[in-house]
Amino acid sequence: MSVEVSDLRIRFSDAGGERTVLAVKRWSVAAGEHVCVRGASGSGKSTLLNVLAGILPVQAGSVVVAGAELRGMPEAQRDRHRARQVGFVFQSFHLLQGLSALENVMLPLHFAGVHAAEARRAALAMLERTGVAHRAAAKPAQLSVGEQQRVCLARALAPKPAVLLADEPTASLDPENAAIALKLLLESAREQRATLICVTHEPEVMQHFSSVQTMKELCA
Amino acid sequence: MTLLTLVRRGIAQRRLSSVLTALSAGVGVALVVAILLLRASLEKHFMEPGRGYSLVVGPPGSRLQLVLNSVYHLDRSSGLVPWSVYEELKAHPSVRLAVPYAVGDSFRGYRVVGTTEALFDAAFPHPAGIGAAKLAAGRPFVCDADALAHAIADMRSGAGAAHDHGHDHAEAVIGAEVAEALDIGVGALIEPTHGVEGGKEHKDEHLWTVVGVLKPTGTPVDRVVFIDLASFYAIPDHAGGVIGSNSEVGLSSILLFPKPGIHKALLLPRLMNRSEFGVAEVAAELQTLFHIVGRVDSIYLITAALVTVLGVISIMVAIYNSMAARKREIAILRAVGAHRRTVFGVVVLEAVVITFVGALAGLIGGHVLVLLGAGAVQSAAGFAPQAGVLWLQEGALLLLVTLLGACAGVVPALHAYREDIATGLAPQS
Repeated sequence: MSVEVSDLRIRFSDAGGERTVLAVKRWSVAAGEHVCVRGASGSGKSTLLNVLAGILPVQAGSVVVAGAELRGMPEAQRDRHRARQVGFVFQSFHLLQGLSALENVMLPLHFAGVHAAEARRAALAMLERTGVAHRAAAKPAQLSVGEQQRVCLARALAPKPAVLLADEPTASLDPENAAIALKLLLESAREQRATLICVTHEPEVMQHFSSVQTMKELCA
Repeated sequence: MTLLTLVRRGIAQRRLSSVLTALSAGVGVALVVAILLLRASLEKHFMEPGRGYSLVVGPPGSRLQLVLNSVYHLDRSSGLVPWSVYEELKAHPSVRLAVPYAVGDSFRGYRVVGTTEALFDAAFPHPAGIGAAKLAAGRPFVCDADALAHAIADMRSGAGAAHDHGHDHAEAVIGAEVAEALDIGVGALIEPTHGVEGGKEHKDEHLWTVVGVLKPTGTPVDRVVFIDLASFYAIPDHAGGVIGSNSEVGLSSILLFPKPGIHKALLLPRLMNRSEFGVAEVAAELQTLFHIVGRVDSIYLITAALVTVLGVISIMVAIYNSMAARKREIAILRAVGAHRRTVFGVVVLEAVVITFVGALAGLIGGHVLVLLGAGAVQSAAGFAPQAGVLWLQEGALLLLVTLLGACAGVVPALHAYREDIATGLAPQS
């Protein structure tokens, strides 16, 4: 299994007191499997992805991603694990505006400890794969929305992660670009044999996945 | 892709704010450097000419005035010291060289000093060398011992110095600046006038022949016309001659160069016990003077340092204020694998780079400031500040200000360190 979750419970405390925002009894995704998770706003989709990425600590239960138990793992180690094993595709792309497209893609490779020359080569190859190599030197503000999503995808894929997490990957794109981006995401994940977990509320996205699960099913 | 690349890109993105904050630190550094350069130039200007001198004996009174008068050729002579003192000190076993000075005349604005061949002794520091080696042109003047003895004897006997001994051979050696400014050289005839400021001419025509031009020294010696003492006393209406009613011949001062080793320590307390003359230790007097001047410029230095600290604080404030806008940037870095320590380091490094660049610009600015203001300082203070690099002080300043910048970066860096990734990544409404 690439992802195994059992008895996961995430609580947030705010002014209204402590509340459970995510509770997953048992859930697993096989290596290389593509899974779509749908759910309404506030259903805990993003929290789930943040836990799988090691951004949020596992408070209770067990979460194994790419063979590593995240529960009890120190934050620094989770950061390293994320850099090496997890690729993140964001709805708002989240590219650093001061860096070029190439530098944005090199970023996770740098944090994964890849040598600069090798990182550059791998980043260029990934930009090539996503069809934006000719825009490598451009800053995000100079790129079209579609190009930005391709750069974001290249950044997620560059470290060849075991798990690819996509958070509403097409929500900011027009239908035409959305279709292209989704196709690219699925193909690239397949090529890299990466496990793909995509959270969305868009039916157009869900239809491309053989396995679609709801947050309700996960939390049951 | 290194952390420095990240920092450089970040700074480039916030170019205007980064440049302005760097400049705010740079202004303080420029002021500090300018003051340090002025202080160094002032110290050089005041202390350099004093190097090589040891003791000055003169009339009782202000020791500092004695030094200023005899070493710097400034101010009026405050009185006379008996010739017998010169003879006594000259023969003292601890004294290597005694140089008598008699002042009171000037030549076209330059001070005329009557002295002996002692001026050309190796122990006399400016210019260095011995005899003709001290000269750029010509030869040392000859101070005829017989003529001098006669002049002294005549004055003691009350006959005055009207005999004009040695007048036929009156010789002068001039400082480098005198030669250049007045465009005169060996063979020129000069006619001193009475008074150090350049006053009335002597009743009789007295001419001195320039026989030598001293090498440039960068000290007040360059601005002096030295004539042989015998010819000085031969001027009939000369003021620098006789002390009171006992007809003792007087000198303005005596420069003493003790023998090496313990001799100065032996000599000084003995001389200080004497009431008929005063003695000044040149180095000590100059240190005292410089301490007074230094205390004043310390106030400016502290002010400039405070301006620098304020500049560094403004860097901290600017970076801290930018943190809200950079919440997402930090979250993205964390999301792609950066550790908290890394974002902490990025922010501190940014403060370091901005401060370093600002401080470096300040160092250059300080030198430019001094170069531009050199003319004004020259006319106001009488010395031209030099913009030469003070490697040690400027290096230390650069290091110190950069370290301050690093400290200033810690506050916003801690903010970045504590930033929550999930909140930073959440879609903004």
